[in-house]
Amino acid sequence: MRTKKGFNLRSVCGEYIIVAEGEENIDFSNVISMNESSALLWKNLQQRESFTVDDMAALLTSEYNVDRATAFGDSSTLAAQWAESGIIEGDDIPQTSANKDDTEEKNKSESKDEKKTRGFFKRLSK
Amino acid sequence: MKKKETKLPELQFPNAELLPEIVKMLNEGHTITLRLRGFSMRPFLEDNRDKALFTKPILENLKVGDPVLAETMPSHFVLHRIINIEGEKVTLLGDGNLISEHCKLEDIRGAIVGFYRKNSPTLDRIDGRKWKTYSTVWMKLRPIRRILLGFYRRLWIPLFGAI
Repeated sequence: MRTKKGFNLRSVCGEYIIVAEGEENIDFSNVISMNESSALLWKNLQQRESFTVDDMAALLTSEYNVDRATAFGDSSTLAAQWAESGIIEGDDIPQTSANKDDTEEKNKSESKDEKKTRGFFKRLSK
Repeated sequence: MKKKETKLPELQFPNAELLPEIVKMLNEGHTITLRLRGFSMRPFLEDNRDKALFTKPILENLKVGDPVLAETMPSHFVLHRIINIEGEKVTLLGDGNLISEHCKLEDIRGAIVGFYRKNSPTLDRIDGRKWKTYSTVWMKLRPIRRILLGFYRRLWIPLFGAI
């Protein structure tokens, strides 16, 4: 998998966040918060052409006092979260079962929203 | 067994801390999309629902009727409409407010390109027809604004939701 272009790490108000940045626009309406360790991972992985969960675990074990198995588990959860947030892409993104449930629920609520009536200003203009 | 929570929490910053950083980025030449807070621009804009596209203001080009981001007091930012400019003195009034506020021209930190309403991907530009029509009508109705806003808040929103 690889990080999507334009999702840059920024430090705002003492928090690490990922914001979508285009050529000139920065979108603060949808920011993703990162803790210190995931910020470190993101900074590293962004410079790579592609990465695997193994690479993430290796970075974690080299930087923090954590065993390989825990690092691997955390990395795969994190990668799944990143994929859900749409900031990484690729075919080898790990899927967790909880993750699948969430997307199903999301689809349900989206279809509900579509049933809503048209907006007030649209009704006025038509 | 409890299901593992994988959803990322939505992150919100207090405006007093975030907006100075936003202003810095505007001055660096970026444009910024930001979700709006507060009810001062009702009925067009709704708290925590709509977004605005900000750009660096060109002070000479500002005119009456423009919505702007202004620092009316140190670290106190508002997004209101300009209702009067007299030299350096600017009078601001939120569409959903009854009492105006004052600031200097130099306190205007951001200009607005347009708004994204109700998660719509299309921008309602402030030089577009929808915003202009709404602005004309809403400013004409200013004498009865108190009644309209009261009706909107007490009856319309509970019955039909925000427009």
